[in-house]
Amino acid sequence: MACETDKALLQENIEEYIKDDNKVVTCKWLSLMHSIDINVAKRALHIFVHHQRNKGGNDDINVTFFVAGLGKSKDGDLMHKCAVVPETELEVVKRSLATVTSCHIFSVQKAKLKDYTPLYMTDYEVIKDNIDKCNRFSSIKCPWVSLKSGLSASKSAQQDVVKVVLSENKGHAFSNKTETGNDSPGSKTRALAKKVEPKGSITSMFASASKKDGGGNESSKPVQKTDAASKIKATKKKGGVTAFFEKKGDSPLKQKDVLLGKDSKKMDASSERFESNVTNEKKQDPKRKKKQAADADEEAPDKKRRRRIKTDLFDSSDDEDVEAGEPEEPEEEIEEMEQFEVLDKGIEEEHKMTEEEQKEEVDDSSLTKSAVVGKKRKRTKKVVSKHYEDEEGFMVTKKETVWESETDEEDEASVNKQEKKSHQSNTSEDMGKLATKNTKAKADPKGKAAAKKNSSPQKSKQTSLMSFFKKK
Amino acid sequence: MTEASMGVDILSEFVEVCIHCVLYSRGLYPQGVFEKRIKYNVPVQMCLHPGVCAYITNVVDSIKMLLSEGQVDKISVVILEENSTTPLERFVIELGSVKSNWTEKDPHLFQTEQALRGFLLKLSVTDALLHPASKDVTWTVHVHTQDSTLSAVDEQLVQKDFPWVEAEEKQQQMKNSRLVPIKSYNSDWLNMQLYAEESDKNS
Repeated sequence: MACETDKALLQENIEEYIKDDNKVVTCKWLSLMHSIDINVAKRALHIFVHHQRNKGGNDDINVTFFVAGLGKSKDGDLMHKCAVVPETELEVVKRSLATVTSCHIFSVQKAKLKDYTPLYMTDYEVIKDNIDKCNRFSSIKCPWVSLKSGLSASKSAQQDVVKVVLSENKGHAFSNKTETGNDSPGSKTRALAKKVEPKGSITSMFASASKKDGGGNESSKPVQKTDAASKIKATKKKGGVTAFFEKKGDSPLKQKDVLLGKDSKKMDASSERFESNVTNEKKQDPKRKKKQAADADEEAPDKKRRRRIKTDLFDSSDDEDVEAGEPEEPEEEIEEMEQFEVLDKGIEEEHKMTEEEQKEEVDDSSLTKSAVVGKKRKRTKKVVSKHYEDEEGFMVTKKETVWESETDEEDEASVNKQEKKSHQSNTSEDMGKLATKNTKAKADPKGKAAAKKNSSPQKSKQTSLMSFFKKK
Repeated sequence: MTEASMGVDILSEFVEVCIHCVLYSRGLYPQGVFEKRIKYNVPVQMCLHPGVCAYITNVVDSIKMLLSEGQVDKISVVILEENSTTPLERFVIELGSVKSNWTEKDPHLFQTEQALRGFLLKLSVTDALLHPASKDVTWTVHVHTQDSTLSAVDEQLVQKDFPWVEAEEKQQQMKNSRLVPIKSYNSDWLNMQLYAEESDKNS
């Protein structure tokens, strides 16, 4: 009953507001004025309008509706539209919307409104009066939102001010540091970030390599590849003394890459032909890994980098030819490096020897095809002598006795000696020259390759073995 | 700035806004020449036509002079029939004298602003209480003041090239008029009421 009387009273009030006071009654205004839920206010307005319209005759009230729904924007995109429209345009607006999600009476008034200004003014006043609790009767609520008390609000405002002041100070300090170039951790990181960003992949490769070095155990082919790539790129940029040292490693590196590729091709071809090579390959892989591991370990400090460069040179010389490789070996070598090198050489030699023997047996066409390869094999034959030296110790390897033992190519050995001497004198000089000499050294055996091919590889191998035994 | 001059400024501003509002609500000019502006934190309509604006500005300046020099009883916007120049409607702002020391109770003018906003809201919905706006009408502004006040500012008005003349008797009298109260306001600053008069001719 009470509810019914309340509703009746509300209807009376609404009629009074609208007809007597000539007020604009919006649902929000009604809700706040009578402290009723917004939906109750909407329903009351709806009932009022319904009653007025049912009375018949000439009703003098104007109604505006709130309509919401999915409509299309100018671009044709779907958008949620909300509009307050007069009653006359209600159907038009509804039709323009694909889906009407909400439609209720927004306001009832006697005047025929020309614009929304009176609606805004009406709500403005009532909202201003209830500014702290203007949404208390709204059906849209958020339980996590709580109104701060005046004290806490003032405190938070003070904290905000303090924070702002602090951040400003920090900003000043930071800017000063960056300007002066002090090495604060923040500036360092910033500088690093700045460096890393523009350079992109190169620097990131460096970073990844260094990280892996730090890890210690992680050593793999990608690391080596990145190292090689980064070195090559880095050396392009560098100049002066550093360029001198870098070049020393650089040119052999390039050669090594190329030659390694060739070797791998060679290996593939040979593996197809001969199963015996498979075992050699298996041996070779772990050794390469060892090499790479050594490279990775030695990267971090500069000294080790140099070492690695030397090893690269050594490797490349092994792969390329004995003439270029041997002169670079001697005095400056480090024991560890030598051990690695010698192991590699030994196994590679064995592998190549078997390859050559079998190849010569197969056909001549393969020989002509592998003219370049044959040269290398001959070179490697000379390296075979190193292999024996390895078993004895590296001091033995450096001895020229191995070369002398090669009876077939005394001339060549003498030429090699001369070249070696010249190389030794040149080692302290520009490495660019060395690279050219290496290429020369390659070129020289080309002419001799034909003669070497005639001589059986087995013979030379046996001679070297014999020489080894003789020594003992 | 003294309280009196501040009060005069506020009042003259309000008169300007009211004139624009009446012109808009009664459809004296097409809606296209009006633009929304913010006054008292609410949107109001303002006519953009330069001739109309200049005329209103001159009227308001004159009212300011009159208010500052002496007493102004009424300011009315009169809507006249175009041919006969007989008044059809009249929106009257009836003013009491601006009181002194009025800012003590309302130093930030919140109450004053709210009251003026209320006037504008009522004015904008007044057309519901009046007859539908008639076509072929013109308008003018009448100010009810004392002779001494007018003579005090007469020279200034002439200098401004906007002299005031005494209104015709015909424009002042409205037969069978009906009074429509709009809003009244009593405060420490000012006693003011706004009402509309319309002649029975429209009915």
